[in-house]
Amino acid sequence: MYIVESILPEIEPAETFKSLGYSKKDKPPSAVQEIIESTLERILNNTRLLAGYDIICDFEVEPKRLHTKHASIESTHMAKIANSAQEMLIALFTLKELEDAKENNIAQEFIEHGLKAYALERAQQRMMQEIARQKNKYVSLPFSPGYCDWELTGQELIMQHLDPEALGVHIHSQTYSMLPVYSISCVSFLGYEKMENNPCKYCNIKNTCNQSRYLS
Amino acid sequence: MSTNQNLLQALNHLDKNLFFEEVESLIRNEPHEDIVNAYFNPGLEHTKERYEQNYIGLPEFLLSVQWLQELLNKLDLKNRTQNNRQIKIILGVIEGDPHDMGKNIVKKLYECYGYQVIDLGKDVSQNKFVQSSQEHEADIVGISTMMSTTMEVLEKTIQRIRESRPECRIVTGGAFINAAIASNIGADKYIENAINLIPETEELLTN
Repeated sequence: MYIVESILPEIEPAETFKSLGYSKKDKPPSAVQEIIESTLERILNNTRLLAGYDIICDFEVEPKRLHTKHASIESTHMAKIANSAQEMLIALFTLKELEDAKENNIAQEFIEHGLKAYALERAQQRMMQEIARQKNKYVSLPFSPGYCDWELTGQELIMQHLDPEALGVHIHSQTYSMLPVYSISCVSFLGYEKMENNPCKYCNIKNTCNQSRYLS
Repeated sequence: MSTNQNLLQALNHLDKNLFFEEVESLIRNEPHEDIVNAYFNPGLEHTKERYEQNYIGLPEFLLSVQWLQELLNKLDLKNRTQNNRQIKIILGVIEGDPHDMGKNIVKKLYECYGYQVIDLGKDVSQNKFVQSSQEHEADIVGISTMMSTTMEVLEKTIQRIRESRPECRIVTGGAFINAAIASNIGADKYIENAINLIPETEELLTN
């Protein structure tokens, strides 16, 4: 497993509004914007991205599943994308906090929660693009266990291929939840051609799914 | 403009200075029990309506609720009750689930409405729920989860609370739960969101 630590990408307060429930037309009032700005600054200064990943090329694809040497994945959508890929990226991303959490009131807690989730996704996207750039390949949409047609039990694959504890991430053996909660496990594909098959476009929960941000 | 209108204006514009100036003036000049009925309760209802009607988002709603609770904390009051009785609610996120944002919002709202909340936190074991409901003689146990993989343990926990304290009401909420699932796993009620929280709870207590 490769381990990389990096600073978080620059994030403008306005780009986080959607993650806090505001539509494109609505802006938060100034009292909320002030909290967003100060919280975002604190997160960007005091948090790092920690990524652990492995890239494998020995995987087999069937119409509704794919197999690695350690595990099988039941997912028609993933199999479709994997068909044209040369490599499979298995990754785990987590936020590493450099200072102890601050005592927050409920509004600040909610805003901090949304901003950390957004910052983690942005950092994940950037890191995956960077890995693809170094490989001179395209990277597909990431699939996470519990989303799309991949069961949450897919966390087993993450545990078998990577060493979550080395990143300070604990995956619960029965429920597959992750601690710290600001962690993302995913599988993505690397290929010489763009892998544009995007199942999110046809998904009826895309408005409530964090992964749908990749659509925009 | 009256103090009450000033207070509502301050909430509408999220004007913290105006809000707390009015609060200080109220505390000096009004009987504290009256402040609850004439200012705090209308302020909370006004905020709830604006959120329900999509005039404000969740962050503004929570900020207003926070300020109103700070107003409440400044008052010298005897215990606030529901129908002359202090209702005790135990809240927690089921074991194996570390997602507590929703539970924390629910806790804040219950406190604002005068319920006594015992917060067990997140990743709470079955035993802890059962023991706490007995120890505190809870009227309601509220169990939250954001994950589908906790349903089995959630059902067992509800059964065990039911066996040990049949008079205790059990409510549940969170992603992956709906009214049908809540009923199937033995809960008395599913609470979908912050708007429904208090009316649904009051209904449960009167039935």
